[in-house]
Amino acid sequence: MLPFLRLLRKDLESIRWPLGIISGLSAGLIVFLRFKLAGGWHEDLVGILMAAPLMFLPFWLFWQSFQSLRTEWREDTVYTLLCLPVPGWQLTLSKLCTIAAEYTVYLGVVAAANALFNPFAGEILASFPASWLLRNGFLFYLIGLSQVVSSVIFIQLAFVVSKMVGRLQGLVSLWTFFLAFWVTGRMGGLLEPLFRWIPAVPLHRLFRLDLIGRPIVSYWDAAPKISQGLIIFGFFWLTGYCLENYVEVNG
Amino acid sequence: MMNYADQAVFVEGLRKRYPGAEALRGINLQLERGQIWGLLGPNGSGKSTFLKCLVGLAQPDGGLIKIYNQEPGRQARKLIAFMPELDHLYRWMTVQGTLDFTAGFYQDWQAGRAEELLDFMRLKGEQKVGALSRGMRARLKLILALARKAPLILLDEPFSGIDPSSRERIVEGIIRQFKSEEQTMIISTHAVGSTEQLFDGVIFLDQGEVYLQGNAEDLRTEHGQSINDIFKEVFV
Amino acid sequence: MKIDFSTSFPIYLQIINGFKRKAAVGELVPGQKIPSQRELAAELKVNVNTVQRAYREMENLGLVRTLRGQGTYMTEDESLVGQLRTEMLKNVVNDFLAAMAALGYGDEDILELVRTGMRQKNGGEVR
Repeated sequence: MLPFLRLLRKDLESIRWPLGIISGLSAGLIVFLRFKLAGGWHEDLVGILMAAPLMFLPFWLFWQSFQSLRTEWREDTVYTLLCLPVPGWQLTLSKLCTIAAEYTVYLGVVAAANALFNPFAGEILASFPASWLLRNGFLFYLIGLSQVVSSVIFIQLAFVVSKMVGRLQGLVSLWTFFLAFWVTGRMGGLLEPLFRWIPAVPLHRLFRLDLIGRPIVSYWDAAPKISQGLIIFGFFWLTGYCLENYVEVNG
Repeated sequence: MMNYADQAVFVEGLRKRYPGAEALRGINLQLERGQIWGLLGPNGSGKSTFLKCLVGLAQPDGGLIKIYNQEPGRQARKLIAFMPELDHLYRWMTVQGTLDFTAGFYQDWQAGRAEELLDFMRLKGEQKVGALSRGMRARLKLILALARKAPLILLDEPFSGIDPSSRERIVEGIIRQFKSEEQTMIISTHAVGSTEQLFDGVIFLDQGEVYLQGNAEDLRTEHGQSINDIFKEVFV
Repeated sequence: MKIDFSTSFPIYLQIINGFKRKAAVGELVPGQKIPSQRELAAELKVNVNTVQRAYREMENLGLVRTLRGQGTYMTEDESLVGQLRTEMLKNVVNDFLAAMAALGYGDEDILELVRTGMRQKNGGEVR
């Protein structure tokens, strides 16, 4: 097996339980609320609570991306990890893929539970054609995924940089995170003109409908996304490089 | 310029500072190939830091390190089997899972040797790492280091805090598996005790400096003392 | 095979002495196979290089010989075994004499003491 697949398998295996429990609980909550609705709970309350698992998702992923590296340090397994003769980017990519898998599985479970047990969602969904739902759902997923990936990269960078200094690691970590965020916006803006020649992508019948349900054509502006994506990719590479060459284990 | 091509480890002027402490203050060492070296010194003398610098888990503040003529880094890591003092195993894995995981990264992994060692160390593949006693985990850690045909094996305090029977197994395991034609080993310890017969050469580290380096047998002849007695004289 | 050794004296020399003693008292007979270096190292819990050095020296002394791919054997040379015996005897006697001299005894005293010691050991008679 390729070394990278070994890493990925290890990372995936290590999140099996937490992922199973969290998505199980979330689906359970939705089913539970379904019965409470039948039992006479107020509609508005149930509607808000049913949306809770989705609102919880970003926080959980944020926490997990931080945890996935921190656990290695806390449990000393970082000694195993950093002694492996693999490039640093493979270590971070494996964790990145794992978080993406968590996002996908959790979202899938919650979406399925909502489609099956959330009467409000069912009502709304029923008013749209299936193909429209599929395309929009997929787009929603992809946009979410790109957000997840870029956040994970920022968090990884912040964590790794903090492990290059002997003290004030928490502060360094926070600083790096916000600095990377700022640099991405700033540098992204500077690079943007380079990609102006790429036409905006029209997103037919996607996403928005006007009040009487007719689709509105909106455009996806490629240039800023591409320039920011490049910066973020740069950060990803930097994180791997630092992890491989400059990071220290504690103590 | 010194010639370091035929040394397993060549270190010159190695310095490492931690906040509030100077761990290594200019280490100069040349370690011949094919030998087992004892890295001896009390706790806090810089043994662990030195080994971490070799494997690249700590970044030196100055000096030169060559491992089989390579600087510490990804290429050098292929040559090194490092067993840290801390418990670096994934506790949720099984014993066999741990071996398989490690095997996947190193081309010099010897599956047959790993199996032999597993048997010798009285471990079972299906056991969960988290459920093993400390001595048993120490044995497993040693298997991971010895099942590779790595040119440089670094063992950080392999005998500390484990039961006598595990200690004996580990000593015997090292003797049985060490191939002097193709391997070099550095074993750090703060309690020389009954393990001194293991060493070809010894290095005494004192507060981040090399106090003494030499061939174990020569030192015994010169001092008319065991290495353990010399150790006690120097550090107590 | 078991050699008790202290670690204040070079280990390889102690291993050699161990073999010499065993050969001299007949515990190892001429031509007998001795353990491989690795086996002996594991048994004594001693570094292989040390055992290797001891075997190399013993080969130089003619005490053992190594056949490629077969192992290491004690010498067939009976006269060498005899020599070892004599050497060992000499060593024992010399050590004894040196120790007695250090305690301040002269030659006559020593002889007398030896006779007394033997008489006591054998129940009153010198054989």
